[in-house]
Amino acid sequence: MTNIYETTIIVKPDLANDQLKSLNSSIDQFFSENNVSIGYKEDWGIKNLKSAISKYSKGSFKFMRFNSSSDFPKKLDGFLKFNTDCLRFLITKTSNALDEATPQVNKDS
Amino acid sequence: MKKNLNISNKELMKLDYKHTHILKKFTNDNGKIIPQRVTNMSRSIHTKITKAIKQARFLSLI
Repeated sequence: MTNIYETTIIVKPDLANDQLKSLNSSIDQFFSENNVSIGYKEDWGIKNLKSAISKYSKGSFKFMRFNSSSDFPKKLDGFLKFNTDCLRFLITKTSNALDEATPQVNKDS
Repeated sequence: MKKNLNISNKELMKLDYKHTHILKKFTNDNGKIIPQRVTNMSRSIHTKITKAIKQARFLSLI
């Protein structure tokens, strides 16, 4: 039984280009290792945080939607929890279509 | 006093933490959730709104 899940990740805004690339590749690798393909990906850009997280007042938001079995979100939670570049993340189950655009994509912070 | 929020039913059914422009209408100037007796929403919609607001707060979106 597979469901559609969404995850929003807040990444440190001061990461260098190569650090950001390695983070993206590590996330992609984690998905491919578990045989899950990312159905939809969005980059919301750097936004002002309404309340500071670990002394960061800005954060780079990444959003992805994927179709997976129910045990994968727990594994992803464990993976992101110990990632030092990731400030905060949220994984939710959704009833939206896999390739539906979010209202945040064209919004300025 | 009851509040008139001008939000369509379709928008309310699909509401989640990403719809910050709608969620802001359900919070007051201090960021507190406006009670159901003021917004005049159904129990199910109000539960959905409060859950979405708390998730948006967690991600520092509102």
